[in-house]
Amino acid sequence: MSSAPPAETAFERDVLPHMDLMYRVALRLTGEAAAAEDLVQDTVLKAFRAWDSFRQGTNARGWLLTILRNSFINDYRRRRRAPALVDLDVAEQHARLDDQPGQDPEGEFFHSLVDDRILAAIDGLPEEFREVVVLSDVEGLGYAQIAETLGVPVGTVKSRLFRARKQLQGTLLEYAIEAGIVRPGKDA
Amino acid sequence: MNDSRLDCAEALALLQDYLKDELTPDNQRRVAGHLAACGHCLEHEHFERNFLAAIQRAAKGIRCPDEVAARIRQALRSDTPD
Ligand SMILES: [Zn+2]
Repeated sequence: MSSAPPAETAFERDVLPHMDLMYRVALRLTGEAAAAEDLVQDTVLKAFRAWDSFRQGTNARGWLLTILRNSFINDYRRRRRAPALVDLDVAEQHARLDDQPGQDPEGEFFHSLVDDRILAAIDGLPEEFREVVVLSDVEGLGYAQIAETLGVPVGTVKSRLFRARKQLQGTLLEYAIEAGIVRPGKDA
Repeated sequence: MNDSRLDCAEALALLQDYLKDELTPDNQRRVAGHLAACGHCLEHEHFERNFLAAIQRAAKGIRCPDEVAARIRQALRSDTPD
């Protein structure tokens, strides 16, 4: 139809490469593809309208993640379920499962778990845990960047990540036991 | 900080930060030194690394569907002021 494609703008150059990242985070936050698609689109459009406030030359990733998370909290979470509050007892219980390495000396069980199970386990985490796992362990952000994105102190990020991983490992271990990949060992 | 050796409890307490490469270079070295010499803690490190690799494998390959990206580009174009 149109003759030549429009020239790429600075916004497109800096923001669009992060589309996959935004989609992955949105998908884990919302838990459903349709909502994730809408959340990414909203994020990009909000970023576009706020483009003047973005400091050129800084990393757009953190800026976009902050916009995405705020949109999620304001517009999406409310529509879905009540926000999942961290069940401290459950978290503590899992955190005490700290002899897991001894149950899998070969380190094979994570390898044997299918991706869908792992994603389901991530999605089953309380939101406060899920978001740090996604930002840290899926996307590889450092503590400082996560703290900035979530608006919490670095110490909070560290302790949430610790407890999130323990809970996730506990869930995956249960899957592995159910699937017969590992045998329940030890007296817990 | 100092050259003192870490014991297992200290090494494991630093493991999370070590794996994220968030320790000072000194402490990164101290933890690495402990892991090199301690099979017990090394097992913990492998466990955590296997765990992280599994998370990455499961979640990191997901991409924004092309038609969604196209729709967003389209929305951007029509949102352009003036
Ligand atoms: Zn040790």
